[in-house]
Amino acid sequence: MHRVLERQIRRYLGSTAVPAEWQPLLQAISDAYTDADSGRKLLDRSLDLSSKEFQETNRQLREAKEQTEAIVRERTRELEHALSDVQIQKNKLEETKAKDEAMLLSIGDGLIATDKVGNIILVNKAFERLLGWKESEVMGKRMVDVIPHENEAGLRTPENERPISLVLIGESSVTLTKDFYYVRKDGTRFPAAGTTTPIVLNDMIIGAVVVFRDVTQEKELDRAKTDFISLASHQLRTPLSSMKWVMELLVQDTKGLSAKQLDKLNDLQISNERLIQLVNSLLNIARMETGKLQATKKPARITDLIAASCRLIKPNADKKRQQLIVDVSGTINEATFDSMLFDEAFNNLLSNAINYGDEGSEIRVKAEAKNGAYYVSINNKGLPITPEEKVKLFTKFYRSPEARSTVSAGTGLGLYIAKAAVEANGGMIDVESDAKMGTTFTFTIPS
Amino acid sequence: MKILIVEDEEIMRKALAEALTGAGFEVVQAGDGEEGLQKALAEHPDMMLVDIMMPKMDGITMLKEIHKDEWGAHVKVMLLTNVSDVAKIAEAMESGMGESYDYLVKTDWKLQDVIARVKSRLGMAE
Repeated sequence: MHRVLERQIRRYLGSTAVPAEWQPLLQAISDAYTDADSGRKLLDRSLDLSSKEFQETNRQLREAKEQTEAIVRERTRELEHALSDVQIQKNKLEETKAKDEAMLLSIGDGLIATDKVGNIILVNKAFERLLGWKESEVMGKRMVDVIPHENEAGLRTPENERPISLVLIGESSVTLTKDFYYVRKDGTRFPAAGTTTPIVLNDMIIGAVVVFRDVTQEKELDRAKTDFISLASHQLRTPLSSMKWVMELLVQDTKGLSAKQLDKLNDLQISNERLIQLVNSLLNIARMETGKLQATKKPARITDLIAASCRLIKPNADKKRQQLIVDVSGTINEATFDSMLFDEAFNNLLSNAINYGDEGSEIRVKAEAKNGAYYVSINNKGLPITPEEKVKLFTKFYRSPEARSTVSAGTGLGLYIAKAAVEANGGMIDVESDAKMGTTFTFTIPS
Repeated sequence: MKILIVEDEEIMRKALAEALTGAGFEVVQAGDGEEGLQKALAEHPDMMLVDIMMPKMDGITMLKEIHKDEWGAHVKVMLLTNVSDVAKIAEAMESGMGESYDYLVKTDWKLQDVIARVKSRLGMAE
């Protein structure tokens, strides 16, 4: 019998025996209890299982939640790091930008940056100092409107010819300009030199940068140098011409001098003439530098000048057993040009022909009238001039390696002077050279 | 024929004087513009050889003064110059009489050629 039932019976019956008639009923109740028990046990068990399942699910959920939270925390941490890195980069960039700007703004040269239509987008302190404008007064304005650009004579450069305009339309890249003046806010001006460069991004011109400086001091220094050379040349010429005339008087005294003494005297005269030529060249260079090489045009005969120069230089040609062959086509009448400049050019070219021409070879001088001008050419046989050399040939102090190996001493000024002299006379100079024909320099005098 | 040489460089002046004397001229010398002016008006030379750059008074200024004189207005002049005197030469050419001057670049002319030129301008035989 079920314990609970038994307990209940005992409580109800006490010690009295259970009546027999009750047995089947009691058995039925006991069975019911037992069933109930089983049922309850099953239920318990089922609840238990459910509970366990629930707990398990709960646990899994919690785990999942924790994992997710951990991942979120992790991601957040990563994002924070990334963000802080970006912040650091940004700070660095801003610092660099600030430093660069500070540098640009404080460089000694004036700086202007414009956009692609020429409006000013940046200027530095030197700009303010040199031109008298404050940054705020010029930003956004067109550079060509704010800053006039003029030449020595005060002539304003037209907008479309200004370096900034040319650079912005892609007509030229880096342009170095000198010998111009900028006009300040107050209307005064100063001599300037500058470089204008396009700002290019992805193959497109998006603006331009102008860097300029005040060259007043340089100009003054230049002028002082030139004045000094002029003065020195003048001072040098005086004793040189004295010597020339005194020696001439000595030479005329043929009775008082022995042949040997006369010979030495001749040598002195030749040296003196050379010195005079050198001083003349020096002075010409000085005048060239200041742009004051002016031609005094007077009627003269090219043939006479050529003849005189050839006569003077013949001893040098004789020394190298070179033959001077002069061809003057037909009659060359008088032309109007500066004969000193002609001599300067011609003598330089002739002396080069002799110095760099081969020994025992011919030097051919030719002068002819053609195409409304006179063409004078000098040809010598010798080491040819290469095309690369031709470009540099007429520049100051340039001496090609071939030239150096032929004549070790040379100023490199001869062709520079020749070109300047020819051009001051209104002509042009050119050179042709190959191994077979040798080298021919030709220059023109407009008639 | 009397020639007045106005040149401050003594050696050059002596050389010119010797060459001219040798060629038969009577030579008077002056060492600066002031002296030149004085002697020109006192001696009335047939021709003057004048240096441009001189102390006390330069050649051009001296000539301007001389030309104010009745005699001096027509005296023949040969200017002795260094090429660097371009500015002064331009000044001379603008002063009227300048047209008739000769301009000799000292370093480019031999003495004998100077003498020949003097003779030619004075209408004398070679």
